[in-house]
Amino acid sequence: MIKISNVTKIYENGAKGVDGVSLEINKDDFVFIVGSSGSGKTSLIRMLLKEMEPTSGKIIINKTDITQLEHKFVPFFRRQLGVVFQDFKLLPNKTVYENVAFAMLVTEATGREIRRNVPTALAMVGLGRKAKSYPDQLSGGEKQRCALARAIVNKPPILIADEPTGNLDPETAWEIMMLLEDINLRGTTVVCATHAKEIVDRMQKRVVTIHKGHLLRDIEKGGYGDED
Amino acid sequence: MKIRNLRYFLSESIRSMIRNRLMSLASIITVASCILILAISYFIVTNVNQLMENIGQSMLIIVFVEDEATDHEVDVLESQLVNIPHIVDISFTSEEEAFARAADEWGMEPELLEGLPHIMPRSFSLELDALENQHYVVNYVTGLDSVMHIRHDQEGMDIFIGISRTVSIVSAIVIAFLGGISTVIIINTIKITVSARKNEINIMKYVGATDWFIRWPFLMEGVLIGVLGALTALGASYFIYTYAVVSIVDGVLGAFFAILFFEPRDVGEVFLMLAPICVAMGICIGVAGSATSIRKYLRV
Ligand SMILES: Nc1ncnc2c1ncn2[C@@H]1O[C@H](COP(=O)(O)OP(=O)(O)O)[C@@H](O)[C@H]1O
Ligand SMILES: [Mg+2]
Repeated sequence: MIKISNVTKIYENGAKGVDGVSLEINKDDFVFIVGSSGSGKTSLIRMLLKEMEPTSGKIIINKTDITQLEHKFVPFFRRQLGVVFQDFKLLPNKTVYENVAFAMLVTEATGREIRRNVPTALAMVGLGRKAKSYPDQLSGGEKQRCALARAIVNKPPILIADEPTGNLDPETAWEIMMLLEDINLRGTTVVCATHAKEIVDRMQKRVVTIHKGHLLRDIEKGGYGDED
Repeated sequence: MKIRNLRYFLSESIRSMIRNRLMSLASIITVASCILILAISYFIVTNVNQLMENIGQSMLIIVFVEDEATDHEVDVLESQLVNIPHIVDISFTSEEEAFARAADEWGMEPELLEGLPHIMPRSFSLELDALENQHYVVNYVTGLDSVMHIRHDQEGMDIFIGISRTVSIVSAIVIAFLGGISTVIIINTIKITVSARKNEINIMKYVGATDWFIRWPFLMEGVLIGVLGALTALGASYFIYTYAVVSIVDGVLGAFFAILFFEPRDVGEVFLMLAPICVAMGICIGVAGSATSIRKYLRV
C-alpha cells in the first residue's frame, strides 16, 4: 500500500530530516513511527502527504509514485488520505459539523452524501452531540475527535497521524488511540508518528523506530524500545 | 462549478469581506474613484464629440466657382461634389443670389446696385457629417476643375479637434494611472485576507481541495469589490451628470451652448453605454488584484 524506497530529505539549510529510509506498509497495517523529537518523523510524514518532495528516493502509495505526481493531481491523491495533526487544524469559524462536512464539500460530494456521512463519522468518534459547537468550545480530546471524523468522513484507505496525542492528557490520549485502532479494524491502514512511549508499549503494534533520520528498528509487534 | 459550490464560494467571500470591512471599504472606494473618473472623462469626450458634430454641420465649406466656367462645367462640378463622401448637403448660390445677399449685408437697396457689373462669384455650400472630415473634403475639392477658391474655417476645426484629442489623451492617462492604483490596493486587501486565511488554505489542501476550489472565494471577493466599486461610481456619476452637467449647460455657459445649438447627450443613452463598461472595468480590476495576491499561496 505504501512503499518508501531509500528516501532522503535534506533541507535548504543543510539539515538532514530523513536519511535513506526504506519502508513498506501493507494494507490494514497499524504502524507506529517512533523516535525522539527531531528524529525525522514529521519530515517523513510531510513527504507522504506530498507537502514536500524528498531530495532523493521514491514513495509509492496505492501504486502511484507520488514523487512524480503532477501538481494538478495532488488534491485527488490527498483525498485518499485522512490526516490528523497534533494541533488539530480545525477551521475556527466553522462548527464541528461544518468542519467535517468541509472535507466532503471539497471533494464535490452531493448534499445528500454529506448529510448522510457527516453524522455517521461524528457518531463514530463520539461527537454527535457537539455537532453545533465551535472548536474553541471543545476540549482538546473533542477537537481531536472532530479532526478524526474529518479524516475518515471520505472513507480514505489510509489514515496518517502526526503526534495525534501530543497535546492531550494520557487518558484522553488513550481514548484517541482506541479510536485509531477502531478505524484500523474497519479496514483503514493507519500510520501514526508519536513519541508517546507508554501508548506504544501498550498497543503492541508494528513499531518503526527512526533515529537521526535513519531507520533504526522495524518490529512486527512490540513496544517503544524493544529490540528484535 | 456546481450551484452549491457557487453558494459556498459566495458566502465565503462575503464573510471574508465583512471580517476585513475597513480594507474592503477602502478598496471599494478606490475602485469607485477610478471608475468615476472614467465616467467623467466619458461624459466630457462624448459631449465634446456631440458638440463637434453640431459644429461640423454648421461649419460650411464654400466652394467658389471660376468666373469663366460655363453652365455645363458647373453641372459637372456639382455631379462630382455629390459623389464626395461625408457631404450631407449641397446648395448652389447663383450670381444673382450672391449679389442680393451681399447687398443685403452691406445694407443697400438692391435697386441701387442695378446696372453695376455682377462681380459676385457663383458658389456651392457643402455641409459635412463631421468636423474631422473637413480636411479630406477640402483636399478632394481642391483638385477639381472650375474651382476658384475654397473657404473654410481651418482654425476652428483645429481647435476643436485639438480639444477632443487632449481630453481623450488626458483621460486615458488618468484612467490607466488610477486603474493601476486600484489594482495595487486590491492586491493588498486580498493579500491581508489571504495571509489571515493561510492556515485555512493549508487545511483545505490537506483535505484535497483543488487550487480552483481555494481560489474561487478570493476571486469572488475581488469581483464583489470591483462590482460594488463600479456601482458606487455609476450612482455618483449619474448624480453628477443629471445635476452638474445640465446646470452648466443651462446656467453659466448656457449662452455659449445656445449659440452652438448644443444639447448635452441624453442621460439614459450615455449610461446605457457607460454602465457595462464600468462594471466590466470593476470586474477586471478586482480579478486582476485577487488573482495576483493568491498566486504564491497555492504552490504547495
Ligand atoms: N522546515 C525545516 N527546515 C529545516 N530543517 C528542518 C525543517 N523541518 C525539520 N527540520 C529538521 O529536520 C530534522 C527532523 O525534524 P522533524 O522531522 O520535525 O522531527 P520529528 O517530527 O521527529 O520531531 C530536525 O533536525 C529538524 O531540525
Ligand atoms: Mg514532529
